Amino acid sequence: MILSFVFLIFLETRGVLSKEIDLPQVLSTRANLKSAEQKVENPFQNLLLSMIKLYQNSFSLVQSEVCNFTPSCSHFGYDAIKYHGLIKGLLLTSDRLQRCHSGAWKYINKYYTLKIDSLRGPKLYDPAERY
Amino acid sequence: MQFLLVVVFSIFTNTADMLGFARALEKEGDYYRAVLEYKRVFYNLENSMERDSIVYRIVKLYEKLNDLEDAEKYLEKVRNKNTQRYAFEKGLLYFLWGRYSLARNYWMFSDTLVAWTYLKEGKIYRAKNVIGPLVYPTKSPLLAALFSTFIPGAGKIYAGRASDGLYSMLVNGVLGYLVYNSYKHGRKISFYLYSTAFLFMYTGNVYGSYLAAKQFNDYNLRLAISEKELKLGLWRYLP
Repeated sequence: MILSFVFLIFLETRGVLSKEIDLPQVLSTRANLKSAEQKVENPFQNLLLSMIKLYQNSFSLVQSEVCNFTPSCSHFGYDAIKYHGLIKGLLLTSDRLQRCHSGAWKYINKYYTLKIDSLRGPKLYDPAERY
Repeated sequence: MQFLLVVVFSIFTNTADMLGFARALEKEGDYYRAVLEYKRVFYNLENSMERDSIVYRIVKLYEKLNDLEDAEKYLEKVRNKNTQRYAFEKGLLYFLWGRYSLARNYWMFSDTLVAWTYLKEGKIYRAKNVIGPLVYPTKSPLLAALFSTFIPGAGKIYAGRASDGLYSMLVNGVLGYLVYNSYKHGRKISFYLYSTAFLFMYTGNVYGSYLAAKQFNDYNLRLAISEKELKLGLWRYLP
């Protein structure tokens, strides 16, 4: 328990978790995201991405519409791991899974915005790029 | 085609009438058609001194229509660019684009406007001298993470997201129990599977609490900035 907290502080001090909001920085981050899209070299990262893809193409198809968000939790996880790297991606995915419940609709217009998905109906908009 | 129509109609119509009609359309909120009428006036006043004021009207209407590219295109048609009005409008365009540092370059004549750009960038310490202190409730992200380290979900409750916190508590509690139960009964495979799932959810809960507190602060900062904008009457500069 303490270890994970210490690890969090370590990541924070290294500037991995948070950065000040600045337009040039945001733009460069987007450029970085685009470049990250092209190369994913970590084999464990590749394995996780493949597992998410497998889930999306098998179990997810059988399941009914269960996710409250758009992009859905699996797409969020895929984007987060791909763009933010393994550690932050996994942390974000885990956090998103714990935020995905009917009570999340209480935070609409506060932390989330409403987006009408043409196929899935009204959803809470929460993309991985926000983090 | 649109340009040709403007030219043909302009030849047969009185400028004062067209201006009156454009103003009436603008008053009615029909900005798109008002722009077309102002353009006809603009064409008729090609050599007039009033031309710049018509250009500013067109720019304002394009801003209202959220067509900033066309607004910029028309702003460049202003003849006398060495005025405070031009600097203000140019700065406002960059401001609406979210390019606050560029807007600042044009708004150097007003301390309040410069402070507004800093406010929008979240650099409150720079705007403080002009607009006064910005008071808003904050939560410590590290304290939220610490709370969730000991009691999963507690950090989220502290950050004002009770339902998220209770859900985290439930998920981590159930997984924690499954880990304990499988360990107690010596089910090795179950133990490893549940432990991995628990670790994944537990670390996510700590990090999520940290993020929740940060989002709480961001939201309240945005709210405080909006209130400040209202108080200082800055909204009147917006289209």
